[in-house]
Amino acid sequence: MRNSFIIFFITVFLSCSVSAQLSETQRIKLITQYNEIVTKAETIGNRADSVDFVWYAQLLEPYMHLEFFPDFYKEADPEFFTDENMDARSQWIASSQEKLKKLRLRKDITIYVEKADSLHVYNHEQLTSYPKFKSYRRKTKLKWHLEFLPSVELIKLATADTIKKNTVNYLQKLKLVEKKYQNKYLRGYRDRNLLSFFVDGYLEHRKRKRMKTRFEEKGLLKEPSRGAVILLAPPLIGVSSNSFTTIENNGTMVGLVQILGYDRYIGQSFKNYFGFSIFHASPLNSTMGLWDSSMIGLEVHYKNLFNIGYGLGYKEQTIGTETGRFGQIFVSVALFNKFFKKE
Amino acid sequence: MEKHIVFFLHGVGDQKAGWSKEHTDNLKIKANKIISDQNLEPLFEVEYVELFYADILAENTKAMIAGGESLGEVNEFLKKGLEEREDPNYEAITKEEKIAGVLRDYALDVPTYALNPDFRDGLLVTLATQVTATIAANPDAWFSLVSHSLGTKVSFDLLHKLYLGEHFNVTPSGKPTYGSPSFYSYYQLASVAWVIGLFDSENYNLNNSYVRAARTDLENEQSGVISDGYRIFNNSFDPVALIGMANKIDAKIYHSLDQLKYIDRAMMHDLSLYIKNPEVHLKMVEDFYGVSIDPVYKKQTIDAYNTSDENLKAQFKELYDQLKVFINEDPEPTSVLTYVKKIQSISKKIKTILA
Repeated sequence: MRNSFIIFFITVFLSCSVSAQLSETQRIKLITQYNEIVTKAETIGNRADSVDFVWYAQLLEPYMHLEFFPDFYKEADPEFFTDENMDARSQWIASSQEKLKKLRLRKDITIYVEKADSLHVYNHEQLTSYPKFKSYRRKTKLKWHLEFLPSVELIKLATADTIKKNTVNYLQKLKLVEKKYQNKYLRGYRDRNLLSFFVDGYLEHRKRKRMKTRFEEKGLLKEPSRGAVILLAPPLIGVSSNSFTTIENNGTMVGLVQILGYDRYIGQSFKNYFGFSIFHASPLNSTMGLWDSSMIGLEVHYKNLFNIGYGLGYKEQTIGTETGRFGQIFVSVALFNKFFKKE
Repeated sequence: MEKHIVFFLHGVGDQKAGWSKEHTDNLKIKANKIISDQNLEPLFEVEYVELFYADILAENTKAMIAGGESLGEVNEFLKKGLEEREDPNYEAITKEEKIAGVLRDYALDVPTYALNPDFRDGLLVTLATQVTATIAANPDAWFSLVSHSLGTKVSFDLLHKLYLGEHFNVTPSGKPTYGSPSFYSYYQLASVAWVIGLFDSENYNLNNSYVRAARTDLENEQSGVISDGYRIFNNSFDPVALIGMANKIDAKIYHSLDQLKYIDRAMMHDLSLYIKNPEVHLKMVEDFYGVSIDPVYKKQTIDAYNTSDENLKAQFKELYDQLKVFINEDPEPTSVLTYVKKIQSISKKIKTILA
């Protein structure tokens, strides 16, 4: 029985292909160690110990060939153990991973073997958990042997590499998204929404508040929203043109406030945005009342650097025979960020 | 020697950063003594890592109370509780005050956590980041998780967040796969998961989750991301566990559900008391340090501890009986309002008894 089983092993081994999980060097090492385990099983005199080697070798198999399952798996459940079932393969490895960890630490573990041929190990939840297979299996103990150490160490190392890759990947993803929030809320945003600034107290709080409510179904942090409302932005200084309407008004320096508007963030970094707003503007050198030479209008902007807009005077005026409002274009280059850097 | 990293996650109450030091120091002292007494050779070099979320919770508790006027009387109760908690001069001294304090903390923190899914996601991602960063720095280490009180539910959700988020490489079917780090032992002390589960908006529950113990000793082998899971509570008198009727849980995530029968004090909810109990710390030392303690030594230690304390005082016995009857009046709380009202009533009852 034992010899025929070892022949089965070698056949399986020759037809296996490269494992997707181990590096080429690791795979070659594992194959060597696998062969040593199989050889050891053959050379040990007493069956009680040799069977441990036979069983143990089967726990290594998922790491060596992911492309197919042993025939006795397929015979037990041909619908589940197919070449296309990637989940089944992943679970096969996971099942070995847990057993190998425990075996080394606890010096023996419970395994299930096929009743008809006690050398066949059922090493998959599909075969060990489902009642329909209950009559085909029996429970037994696999004992630890020092010869198992090199392969357990190798698999531990390979697993650690994957765990590190996964966790670092997650942290990098999270850091990347956090950076986007950082960019959105600590760059342009602080100058765009005075109401939020006062209500939330400070923008770090605003950022955290927004981050708390933006998660995907699976709990991953989503990117910040692309949109942002402008509500009472801090004043900008601009230059207005002479009036374009029949009501004259000379160009001058104006202070303008974006009252209500919308920004759209562009690009992956969330550093850049463009938008529009309804604005109020007053001449800086005005000796008249607030509304007399002030205007309301619509402006478009890129970041807080460049604004261009067109505004109409609040009051209708009559100059000579003409009645109407003055209309001016203004251009602004915001200097707030230049002088008051907060980063 | 292999590294074993043990995460500690706190429960309800006014916790501060550094909260775990007292407990981990105690555990280290006990472990050193046991290892020395028994001349054991540990398999692991243990490192304790503290997880902390009380600051996030507190911020949201305040926000919830500030916006919870529609809850009327209940909100007033919570408001008063928060004031009491934040009063630096307030200190619970008597057993009854301690019980009331725990109920108050529970009423304050549990609804905040359980009723705000968005906030909960933020809290869990903060914790997940801490855990993941530790794992990334120690990918070949072993990991364990100790949680207490509300932390038992937070830890359960945290594990789901880690695996459901596919950060730990779990297949769509929800089973762990290659490269999924597993938790060697998972302790839920003073667990109240069942009652918190009542408010849970997630679609997983304790019985169908794959966050469960990987067990080969069962009739049917079970895959999972936890090697050994324990749920331990003092059903004799842990007021929180009693209210939560936590003994009804029969989940797949555990290897063992241990009810501690030991009563030596009115208050048996504190983490320090759980760790002090040898039925808990002997198991922890075995798991965390990878040693096997002589069963005779274990029995002697447990027996010595159980016989070393005074019997219950008559006053406590009376209080306990009254509470038990009162709590059992409505064994199936169905809403947070009912639940908080119940805690509110229990607090009043305690005050009546004291008066």
